[in-house]
Amino acid sequence: MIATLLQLLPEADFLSPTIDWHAIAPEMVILVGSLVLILLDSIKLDKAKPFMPTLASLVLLGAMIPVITLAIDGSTRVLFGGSYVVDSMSLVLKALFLVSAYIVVLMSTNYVADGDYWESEYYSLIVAAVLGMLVMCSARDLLMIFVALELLSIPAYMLAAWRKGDEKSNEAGLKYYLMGVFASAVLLYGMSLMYGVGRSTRLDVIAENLVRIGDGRGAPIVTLAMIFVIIGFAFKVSAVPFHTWAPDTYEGAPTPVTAFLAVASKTAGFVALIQIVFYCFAARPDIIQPVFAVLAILSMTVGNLIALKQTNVVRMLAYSGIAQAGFMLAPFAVIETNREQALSSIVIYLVIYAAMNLGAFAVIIAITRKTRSAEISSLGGLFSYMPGLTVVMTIFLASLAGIPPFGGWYAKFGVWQALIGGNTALGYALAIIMAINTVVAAYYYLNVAKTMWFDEAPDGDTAPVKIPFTLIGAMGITVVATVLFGVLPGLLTNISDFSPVAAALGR
Amino acid sequence: MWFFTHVWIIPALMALSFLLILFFGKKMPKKGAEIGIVFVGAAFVLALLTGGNWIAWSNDNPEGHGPAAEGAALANVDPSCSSVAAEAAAVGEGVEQVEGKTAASEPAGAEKGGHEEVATRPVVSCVNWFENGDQTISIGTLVDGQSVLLLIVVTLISLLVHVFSTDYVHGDRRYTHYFAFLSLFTASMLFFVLSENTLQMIVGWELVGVCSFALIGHWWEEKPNSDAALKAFLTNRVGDIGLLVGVIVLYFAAGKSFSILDLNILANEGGISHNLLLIGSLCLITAVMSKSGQFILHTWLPDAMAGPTPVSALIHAATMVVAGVYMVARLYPVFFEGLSISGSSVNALSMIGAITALFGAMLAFVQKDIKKVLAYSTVSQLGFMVTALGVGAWTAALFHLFTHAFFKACLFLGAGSLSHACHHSFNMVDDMGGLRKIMPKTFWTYLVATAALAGVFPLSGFWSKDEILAGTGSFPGTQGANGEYHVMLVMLLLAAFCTAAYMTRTIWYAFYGEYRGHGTPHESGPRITTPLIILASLGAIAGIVNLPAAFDFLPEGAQTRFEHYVEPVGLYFPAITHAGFNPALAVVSVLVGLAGIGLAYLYFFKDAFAGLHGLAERNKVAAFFKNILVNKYYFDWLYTTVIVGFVKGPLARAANWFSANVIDGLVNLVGKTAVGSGNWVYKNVDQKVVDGAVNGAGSSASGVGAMLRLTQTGRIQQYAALFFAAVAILAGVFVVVIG
Amino acid sequence: MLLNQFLLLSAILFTIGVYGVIVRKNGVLVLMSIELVLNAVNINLIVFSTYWGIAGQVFALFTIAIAAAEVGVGLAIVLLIYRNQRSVDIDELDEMKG
Repeated sequence: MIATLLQLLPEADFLSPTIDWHAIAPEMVILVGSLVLILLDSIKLDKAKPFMPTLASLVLLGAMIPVITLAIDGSTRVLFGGSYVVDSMSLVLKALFLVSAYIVVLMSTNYVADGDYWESEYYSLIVAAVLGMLVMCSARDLLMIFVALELLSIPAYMLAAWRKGDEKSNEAGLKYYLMGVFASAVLLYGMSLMYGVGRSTRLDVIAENLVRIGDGRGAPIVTLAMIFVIIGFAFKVSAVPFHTWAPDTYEGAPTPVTAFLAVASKTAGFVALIQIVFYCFAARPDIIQPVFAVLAILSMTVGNLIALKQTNVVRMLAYSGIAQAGFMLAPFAVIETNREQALSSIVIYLVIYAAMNLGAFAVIIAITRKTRSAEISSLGGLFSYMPGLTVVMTIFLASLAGIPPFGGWYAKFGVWQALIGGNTALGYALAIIMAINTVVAAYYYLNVAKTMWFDEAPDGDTAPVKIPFTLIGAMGITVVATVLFGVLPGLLTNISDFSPVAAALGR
Repeated sequence: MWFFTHVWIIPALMALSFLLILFFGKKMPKKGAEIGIVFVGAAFVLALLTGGNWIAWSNDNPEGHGPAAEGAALANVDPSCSSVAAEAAAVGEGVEQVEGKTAASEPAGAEKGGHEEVATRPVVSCVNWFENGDQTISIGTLVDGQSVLLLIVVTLISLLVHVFSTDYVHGDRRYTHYFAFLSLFTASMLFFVLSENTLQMIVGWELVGVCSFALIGHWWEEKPNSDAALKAFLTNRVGDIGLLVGVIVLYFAAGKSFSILDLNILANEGGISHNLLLIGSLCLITAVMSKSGQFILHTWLPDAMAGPTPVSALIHAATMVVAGVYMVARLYPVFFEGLSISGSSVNALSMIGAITALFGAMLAFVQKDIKKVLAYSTVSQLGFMVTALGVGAWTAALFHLFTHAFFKACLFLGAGSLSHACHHSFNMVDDMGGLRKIMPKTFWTYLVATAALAGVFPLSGFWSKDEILAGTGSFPGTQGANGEYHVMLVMLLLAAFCTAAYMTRTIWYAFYGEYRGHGTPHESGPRITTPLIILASLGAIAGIVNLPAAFDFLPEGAQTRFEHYVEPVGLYFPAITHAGFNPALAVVSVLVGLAGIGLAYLYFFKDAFAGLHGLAERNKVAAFFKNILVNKYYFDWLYTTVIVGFVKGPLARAANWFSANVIDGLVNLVGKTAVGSGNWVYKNVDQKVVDGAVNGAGSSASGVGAMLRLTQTGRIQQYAALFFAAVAILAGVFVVVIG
Repeated sequence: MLLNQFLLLSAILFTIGVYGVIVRKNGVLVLMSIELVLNAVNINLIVFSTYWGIAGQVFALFTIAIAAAEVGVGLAIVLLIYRNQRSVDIDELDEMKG
């Protein structure tokens, strides 16, 4: 029967694609890993619980091995007829996602075990979301990008509502879910229009068609489609005015999940923007430059101004993250004149941002083990009983504020260089607005530092609390990375040397 | 050469000292202070050796004139850190790249001031720091007279402050932490001073700021201290924007190079357009305004006196605040060309400096806190330096920086010694007085430093201030050195007058009259007085290093040594002209200083005799009784005027009349005006307008933040509506506008 | 082909869906409104695929599958809220703001 069916198929129409298994090895490791996690949970139930975090870390670190071998190999691999590309930049980003997720797992270990949570599913969902992120790094096709986006979003919706009995967490989950689904609906509508005018779902083909259309017939639909697509991802990176979900979700979600959303999920949004804008929409800089300039200016200004008034440190970090996203959106606005530098400055910013923000959340998790509150005033007097933690947190805050010699300054410097190097009026304007915002930002970061160092402990409770070693590990990795990237930025520029990418872009 | 290429050891020593104190300090018998002193001492010795080597290096400079020699002077610059030097090395003799500058570009007929035209040979060495795309960013050291000068000053003051502190902060709860940060601060400042490129300068600049944050807030348990630290830091952040923008503009202006040497040479040769230089220099001036406490960003400096006094001496007198001045001096061609300093009569730099000099001096009048007087005095003196740079008197500015470091550090440490004796109060009006006899060492050193600051001949302050005044090129006889800055001369003379007067006032309050505090004050120990004596002696004699060239009766090589060794000559420095020494101007400046001292002396010392200071001006009855008291119930009058008066009555009466009407009137008028205007400016401009503007900007930002917060209602559907409204507006606008 | 008519239909569906998301207070109805938007997308994709080949139809299939997964998660969260609050009125969820 099957044989007859096969005979019916015309031979020329079915080509089995040759798959470069090495190129997709990281994704395969994660896929198998997440399946193993789910299966183990359903078969062994409670017995497997204590091993879940270890297993999840092993899966994530295991996926690093093929990433490293691919990086050593160094060649650019193109799969599935150009819809999936593994190049040096995508490897840097994959490594970033894997390490970030590993740190999140470290942060979660005791948090999840101590609280009233479903432990096993938690880790399989995180690993599944990482799969989506890895695919995003290499996707060069609208469909692939969409699938990757949903693969990383749907687990995140569930994770945000993970504290089942807590109304705040429920609220956080529903807000994130509804806004997220709405945003992806808008994104999809944009993608469907883009498919209509671009004649394909492949980014390179769409780019050719965009050039062909120019501002001729069908141009308004191009504009509409582009804006809808960009906005879909602007939601993901919490750019103003699509940021409204972020503070509420961050506050309500379990803190390690917040860290995951603030860093990994946001980075994934930026990766998608990089793929779409640099490989496709760059054909129409007259549209995307002003769009991104508007988003960047609104994000950094509004984010910073609202952050000034926050009393909860997690909400403060949410708004600061919005402002930081504004800084990262800015280089998109000089894409026409300074393409290569814009790209590398965004990627470098993403790496440094991941280190310092994850670190800040790790410290907050450690502190809330004692204070049970994320109010800024509850941090008072921290220096007197946990000086080490205070110093580490101060380093992260200083880095976020952009004070040398911590990583943050170099990230900002890179964006600056890209903006000014673009040599356009828009670039200069953005650079100036960014400079002003940097100063405003210093105020609320230092305010937290001041509370920790100078203020009295509320209700005089100064008994130090024990910090689990996994959390110390998370803080150690991030603090070393933050300081190292600041003192030796050369490390970053070497790993993110995009000359092959630049050559590809120059086509 | 070894010293020049390995000069990085000096900041590295201090950084090592920081780490050692941090990790092992608590376990050491002296709690880490000895580590700091040994290391800073070693750094000072190395700095001195470097200085000696620099003098020898400059002395055996091969003779040679003209462009070829100037090009060859760059032979000691590592080609990897300066593209111009690399070019010069490639060409061989480096003649090719100097065509922009010929002998004709130097103003003809200008007074050379005994300046031998031999090109300075800076030594630059660097290593790759990181690579950014095709751009290599290096980190290294630039050694020339200017950086060597600062090396010596910073390490010396730091050493003395370390010694002073062992006694002053003895028993402090964070003694070890304090010394660790002193070391780190010194290391950062040295790192900044030796910067080879502008990016490195930014890093050093920020590090200095962070350390000062930690040191000002040393006693953070008291809220004003932590507030002051935060204010200092935030005000400096404002300037940092200027620095960042300026450096980036200049980076692109210099053809994507951060190298100070490249930038200076290009700016000097006219390789960068005037407008770019103007924008760059204006941006950098913002940075100078914040770091060097120039009007209107000076408000943090007096507040920052909340830190421990030795820190004030180190940070707010001798090192950190001169960073701005140093930066201008380092990038001088940028300012020289950008602001067209040569041949004009006003520019942004000189204007800001002159306003600051006068303004700061007036404010110093009405302070009760002795440290605040000194703080405003520092503001004012920094104004002198900035003005000097603004009018083209580069050497005078650096010379003043040099002498000021000594006497101002001495004054600050003296104030520390006073408060050490008076139960840690700095209120000279209410808690001091009459300490002259009790604390003779402090008194005499303070007096010498005051005289130096007031510009009394022949102390060091006289020489440096006189050079600045001459540098304005306005006084008859010194005209047109680098343009004629008449306004600046007048403002600086007024400022000098005020300086002399307010310093006399502090002496009166602190050392004369009755002791007004409580307890029994006592002279401080040797670890406090020895640094004072050293600083006062240096403050007295430091002037001899730059005696005017006009003193040709001195042996050859005794004049203008400072200018000879410190001021660069060659491609990377503009051809500035030095104003000659003018005896008339010197007399005027000394007279102005003496007039200030004299009037203040009469105002305070004379009236105070009656113990009714100030009352007599307000109340006629009081004046009547005071007159009786002054005249000792007229018994004296009876004896002298009635009896002896028969002999010399008319003379005595005339003298009396003169004293009562002319001198008293003058004293009262000047005193009242000065105090009144100082008070008015302090109350209305400094505290209301300037502080108000700073606070207003802050509160309006947070007000807007509070309003924007209201958009975050917590309702999902309002979020969705906002989301879609934004989509619709963006899409609508773009579809309509772009199509 | 009636391209414009189909595009118009999808635009109307999109608008109705957006209206529903913004206005309906019941959590389940909001989910249904989102389904409308997704169906507008599917119409677009299939119409365009008559011009540009099979990719659009594949895309539509993926959209349907993913929409199903999304609604599954959404209903789970709405159910969670119903259990805790005995209500699915999303206007009552404004504990966190500012």
